[in-house]
Amino acid sequence: MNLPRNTIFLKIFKYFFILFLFVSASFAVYSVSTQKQMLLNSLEIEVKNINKLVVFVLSDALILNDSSRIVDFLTEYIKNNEKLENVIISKMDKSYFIIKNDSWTYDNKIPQEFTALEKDTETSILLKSSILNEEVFHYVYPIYFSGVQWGWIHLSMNLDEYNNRLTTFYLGFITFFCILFVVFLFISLFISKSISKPIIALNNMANKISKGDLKLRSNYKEDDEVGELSQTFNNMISAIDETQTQLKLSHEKLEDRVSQRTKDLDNTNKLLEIKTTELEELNKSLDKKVKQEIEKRIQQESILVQQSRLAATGEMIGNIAHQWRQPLSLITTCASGIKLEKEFGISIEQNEIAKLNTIIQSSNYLSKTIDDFRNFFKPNKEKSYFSIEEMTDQSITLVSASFAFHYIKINKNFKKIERVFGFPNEFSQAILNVLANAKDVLVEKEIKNPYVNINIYENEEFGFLEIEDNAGGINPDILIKIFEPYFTTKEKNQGTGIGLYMSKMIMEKNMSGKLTVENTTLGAKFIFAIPKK
Amino acid sequence: MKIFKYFVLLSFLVSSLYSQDESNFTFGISSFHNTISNQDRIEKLTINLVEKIKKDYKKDFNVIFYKDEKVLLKDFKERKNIDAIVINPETYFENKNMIKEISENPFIYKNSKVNYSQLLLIANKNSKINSLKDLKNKVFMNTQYSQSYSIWLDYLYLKNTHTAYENIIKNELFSSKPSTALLDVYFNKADFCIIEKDVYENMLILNPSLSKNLMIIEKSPEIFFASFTSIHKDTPQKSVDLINEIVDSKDFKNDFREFLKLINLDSASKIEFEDLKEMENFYEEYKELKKKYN
Repeated sequence: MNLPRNTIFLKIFKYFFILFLFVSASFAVYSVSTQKQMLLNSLEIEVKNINKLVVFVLSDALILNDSSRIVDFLTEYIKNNEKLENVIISKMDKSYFIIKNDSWTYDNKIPQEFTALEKDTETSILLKSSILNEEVFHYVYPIYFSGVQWGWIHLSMNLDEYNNRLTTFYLGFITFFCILFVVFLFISLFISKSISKPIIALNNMANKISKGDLKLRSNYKEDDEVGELSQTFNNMISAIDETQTQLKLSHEKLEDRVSQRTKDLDNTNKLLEIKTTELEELNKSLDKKVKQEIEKRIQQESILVQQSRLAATGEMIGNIAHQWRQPLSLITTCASGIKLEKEFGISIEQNEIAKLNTIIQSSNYLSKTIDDFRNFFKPNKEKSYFSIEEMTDQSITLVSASFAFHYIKINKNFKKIERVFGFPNEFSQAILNVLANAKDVLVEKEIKNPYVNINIYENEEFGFLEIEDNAGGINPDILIKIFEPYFTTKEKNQGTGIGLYMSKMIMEKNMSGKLTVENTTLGAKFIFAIPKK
Repeated sequence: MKIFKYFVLLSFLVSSLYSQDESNFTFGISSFHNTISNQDRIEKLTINLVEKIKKDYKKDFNVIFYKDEKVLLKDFKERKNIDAIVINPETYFENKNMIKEISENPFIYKNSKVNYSQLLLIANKNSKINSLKDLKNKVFMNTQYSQSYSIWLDYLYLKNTHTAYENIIKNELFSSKPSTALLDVYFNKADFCIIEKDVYENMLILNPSLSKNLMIIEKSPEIFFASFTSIHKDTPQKSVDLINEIVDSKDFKNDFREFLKLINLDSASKIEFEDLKEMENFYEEYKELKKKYN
């Protein structure tokens, strides 16, 4: 038989077949147990009849205790009864006649398995007889005469007929089962095929349709769910077919339109080419303009640098002035002293020499101050590793006199950190710009107890320097503008608007670091981040 | 020889007797020693068997039971009414010369598989019987339907003590079968019994422990049988052949075996008169002893 290899067919077939096996197995279990019970009932009826006969025939012998009659009858009876294998006459005095078809004994005990069955009522059981060494149907009946129990009679029936009947039943059942199996196999196949056939046909048709043949239709017209599905499917395919026809028409129209559009596009392209040419020419002129602008910008930046230098120079001159003020005063005082002492004739050589030494020392100090500032303004040519602490200290030294003049206190909180990589002198200039701004704003706002906190710390990549004043901070509206060139809050003659711009350029363009600002509870905080490598 | 039941049927089959009418066969059976109840049973069984043979072989068989053995032998001698006789061994030996002269085709009926049985005198060990002399005041369990047991016991007593056993024993009881007699002795219902050796051996097979409680006191020569049949010489050969044919048929053998079982016999065997010589001598001796000491 050519079985369809479709899953739905196999599923339906499988379910039918499992159902058959389940029903058959249940039926088999029920039938076997019922048959066994029936056969046992039949054996019990038979053994009861034998028991009635034996007890009836032997009643006189039992009452009169005629042992020879009991043995004689039972040996003969058991010989002529094929099913009866063993009879035990169990007397109340614990003496037993044990009769088999080939022997008999008169004993004072029997196996416990038999005495255990001696009850007030009749008992029957399937057991393995130790006397016969085979399985038997054993029946025990209590013998009463005139209401007095005389003993028990045990009857053991062989199971040959029981087993034969059971075997016959098994054979019959297996034959029936095999026939049923084959019949059900064909029925399952037929039903599975009947149910799955329209579905499979529908599926095959759907496959063909999916390959493009939209003219196919399902012929299944039955009044069931599959018929309904078939009709719905046909309707769907008709709709698809119609849609596709319209799509084709639309496609054809689209091609026309595309063709038209292409023409339009060609025209547009030509116009575009013209425009492009014009644009190129424009670009060329624009290049010139840009270059001119760049040149202007460079010039402006140059001017800016120049202005910055000038501003810095001015700043430095201010600082130098502060640095020089005290030694110059000292020199003036000493020189004036010598002069007055000479004029009043109270000059003492020793004192003069001391004052002259003081003048010499002060002059040397002034000279050194000039060297310091000159070195400071020498730009570095190459990047190098330097200590933020050292450069900060140098910068502080340069402004210390100016800060002291304005009573501005500097609080240092330096942590020991690694050296950083960059241009140390340019970095110092940036620090000086920030410190100078801090000083200016503290002075301008006339802050009582002005001070500046300077912190140094690091992380894995950068060394950090924070300069925080207590001048109340920068107006948030202008906070983002303070690094723009020419932006200043100072009066025109006081600020150029270049210092912070230059400082940011130094930090971010030249040294690949970062300079940011934020307002704290005290004032403005400038944060320098200098890369370690 | 009390019981003659068996002969009944044996008679019609084995010994076919021809009555005057060739289409009719009649068996004469001695029922002299049978009890009334047992006689009825045997007669009924015999008639049933004969009816079956009549039906199967379409031959008119008949059976006549004789209470008087003399009448039976007279009729047989004259071939009047009967063509064959079924008699006990004692009757045969009393009339052996006449029977040999007028009849042929002798048969014997056996209690066991062997043609001639050996009898055993068996006592319960508890009875403390060790020899014939110890039978005094003991209970003898005899068996119905056969006189062979009491004849042999009488022979032994007459020969050894010159007196009849009835004068010595305490009581004589009767059992239905030799095997039952043995069981009665085993279960202390009696002190001793006489049974065939064959029966005793079969009983031992069924229960070997019997030998623990029983003891063989005496053994007889192997000469005893249950009953005797012969056919009159004037019976037509055709009828004899038919009887032989019936006897040899399988169906009949089965029916006959069933019948013999019902009357406690085993089978029948064809013999020659010469085969009974030893038995004849025993009876002669017994007859002499009885004459001498009674």
